[in-house]
Amino acid sequence: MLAVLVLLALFWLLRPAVPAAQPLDLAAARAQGPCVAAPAEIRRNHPDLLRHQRDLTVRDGVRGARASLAACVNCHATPLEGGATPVRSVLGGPQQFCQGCHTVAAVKFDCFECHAAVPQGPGHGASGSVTAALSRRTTIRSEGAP
Amino acid sequence: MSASSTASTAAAPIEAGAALPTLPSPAAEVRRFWAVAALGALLVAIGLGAAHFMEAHGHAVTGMSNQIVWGLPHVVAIFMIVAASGVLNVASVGSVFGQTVYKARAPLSGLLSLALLGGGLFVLMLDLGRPDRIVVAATHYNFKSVFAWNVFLYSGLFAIVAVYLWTLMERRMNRYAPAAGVAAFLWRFALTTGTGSIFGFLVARQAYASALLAPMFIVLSFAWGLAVFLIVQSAMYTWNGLALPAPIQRRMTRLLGIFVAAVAYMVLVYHGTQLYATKLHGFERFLLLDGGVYPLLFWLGYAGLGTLWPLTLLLAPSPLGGRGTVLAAALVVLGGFAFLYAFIVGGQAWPLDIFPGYSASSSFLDGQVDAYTPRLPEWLLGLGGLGLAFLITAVGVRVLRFMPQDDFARFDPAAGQTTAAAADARKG
Amino acid sequence: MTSNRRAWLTGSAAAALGVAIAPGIRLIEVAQARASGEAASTKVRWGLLIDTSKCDSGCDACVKACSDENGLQVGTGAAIEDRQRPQWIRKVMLTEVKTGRQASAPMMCQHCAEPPCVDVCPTGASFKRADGIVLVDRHACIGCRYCMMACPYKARSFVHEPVTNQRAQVPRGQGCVESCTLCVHRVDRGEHPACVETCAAAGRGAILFGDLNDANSEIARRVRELATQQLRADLGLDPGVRYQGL
Repeated sequence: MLAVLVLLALFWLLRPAVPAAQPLDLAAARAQGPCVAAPAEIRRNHPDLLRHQRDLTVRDGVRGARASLAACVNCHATPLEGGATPVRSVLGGPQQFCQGCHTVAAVKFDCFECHAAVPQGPGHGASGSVTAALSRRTTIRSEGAP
Repeated sequence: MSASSTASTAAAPIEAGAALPTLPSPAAEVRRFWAVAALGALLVAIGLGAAHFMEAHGHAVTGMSNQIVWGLPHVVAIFMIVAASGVLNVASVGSVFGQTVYKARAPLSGLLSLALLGGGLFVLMLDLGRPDRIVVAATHYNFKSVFAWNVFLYSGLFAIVAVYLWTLMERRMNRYAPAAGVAAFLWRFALTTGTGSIFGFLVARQAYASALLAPMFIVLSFAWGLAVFLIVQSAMYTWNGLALPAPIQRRMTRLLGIFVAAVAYMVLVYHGTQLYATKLHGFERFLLLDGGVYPLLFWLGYAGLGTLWPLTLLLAPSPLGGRGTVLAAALVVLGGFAFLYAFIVGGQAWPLDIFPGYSASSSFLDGQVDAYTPRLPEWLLGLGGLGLAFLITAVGVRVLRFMPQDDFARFDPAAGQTTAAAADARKG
Repeated sequence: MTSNRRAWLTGSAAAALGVAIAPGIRLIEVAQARASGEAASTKVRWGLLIDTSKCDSGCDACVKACSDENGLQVGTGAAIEDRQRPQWIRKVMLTEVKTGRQASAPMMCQHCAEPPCVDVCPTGASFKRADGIVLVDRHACIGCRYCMMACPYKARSFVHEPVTNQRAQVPRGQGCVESCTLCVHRVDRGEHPACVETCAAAGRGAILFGDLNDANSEIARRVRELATQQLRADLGLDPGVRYQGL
């Protein structure tokens, strides 16, 4: 019983710090205009918003929705440390937008196995070179919280 | 040992002059079980490792390509699934057709069915491009697809066989066994028809678009299922110091012979009809004559080793006796794998005829035969599936009473005398 | 000849020339982008018409354009064989067996009206959009490859390796099946598929894109007036891609 309490206390004390759930480049993001919904609502509902919208976009061909993954990435991708050319991405480290919270919340997602994690303009190829380290294995699992 | 237990464990009317196998000591039995279980668990672990390797690196580490999309893992999986359905036949002949000999074998047949189906699905699901999406497959259905029906047919078979086993092994439920047996029989017929139709519905493929494939797979399941059953039964009997009574031996031997002949008939009709169509001559020539490994596997593996040689062992009196039956069963299994490899892989190696009347070439292997060599992860994944079936069977037989409990007095009134004499011989 | 007659003849010749050229001016379809928030509709059926007489056997500009547009060559470069690489469009060199006549044609997903790949997909990931484009919903694809077995045209590719650096408009990843999307991300913006645009830019114009349901479109007019064929028409799949000159 005592051992259980000690263990629980240890887990609580050693819990990782929750990273700031907002893009580092707040001014630039705000300049783009309001986000799809209030932060608290987005935090809770973004899986459902994205899943609903993806069916509308893929199956019905509805374009231009605010709740589109590419639009999220365009706004919220933050610069990655290191590398010769600065690259913005939502993966690649504990301060990156998607990965930060998801690593702490321990919720695995596989969106970026297929979707680009780097913002690109419509109709153009990938901007900047993203190294192979951004593959799903290394980013989501091994880059732990601080 | 009491006299009554000796009466049930020592075989009664065995062939004259044949020696009784030695009864293993309890310690030896336990050792053997753990060795077998360890082997099975090791094979399963190897299979899981191979699946993980394939998932981490993609199917580029296999020999499969954009032309040959289903390779060795599918050959193993489909053999096991068809055999799983067929092995249930032994039970059906008992419950549905009322043959007493087979009634005693029904529990083992049910266990083998579950084991083989589990092993086959293990391989099939881990060979998917996205095995992590199994939940999607379980929740999204397109009912025009045979694969969608299969999700229900396969899981349904697990449930129905489990219920059937319960009716067989729980004394109070025995009166429901015939009904459960009929349900299992009909369900597995639907399942195997679905398996054959996976290929039969591929209208554009020269190798497959045939309604004959569904009944052909049913007949294949009869032969492969009984062959696997005979092998397992023989091994179990030997390890437990039992010998199969001669009448039962003869009946099952002859039945396997009939099934092998029936398969040969279906294959003959299938290829004969294909050969009648001029547009299919190119493909049939490839498969049966100059396609390299595929004609080799078909003629040597399936026709020779898998059909002709077993027929001589099964339908003619054999000097090998019981061992001849087991040899024939093993050959039928090997022949089955060979047939399935030529059928599945050979059917894909031959290019699609998109431009009839033209010969085509491109950077995407249009008009060309694709060369396929299975690579190590595929072999190991297939092995893992076989290992799982092995493990389930070994654990099942150890934990519950799946071994056939024959009531020998009902076969031979002289059983009582022979048994006592044999018991004395053992004690002495 | 009097100047009046000369002027009349010149005027008539000019008018005749204008009438002759005018239909050709509509060669490049001015596709309309769909409004934001509007779903695809069955009123439209997108299709291609390929004139094999204009297709040069030594040219594979369409293949390169497709690969660039859709980011097909951005795997991790693991030990992948050529036969495992995805190809959404390929150039097929044809030789008629009995006569020796040669032709070449680009080959891609035929966007059938009755697609066998849609029939056999267990999860419904392979589907036909309302406007006729056959797509793979990679959210539902489990990578079973049954659609690849069912396709009469070998149109589909399986992604054999992990993918990075995807194009934002073309999500694709390991373990799923994929095929020509008729550049749906471009079509929805009112543009043409990359292969069509590149072939036109290369001066050949062998591939024509348009709305088969619009009687006034260039493609509908051509398939009404000229002899065109669908590949494996005997299967009754009604592909949206037609070929001329085969």
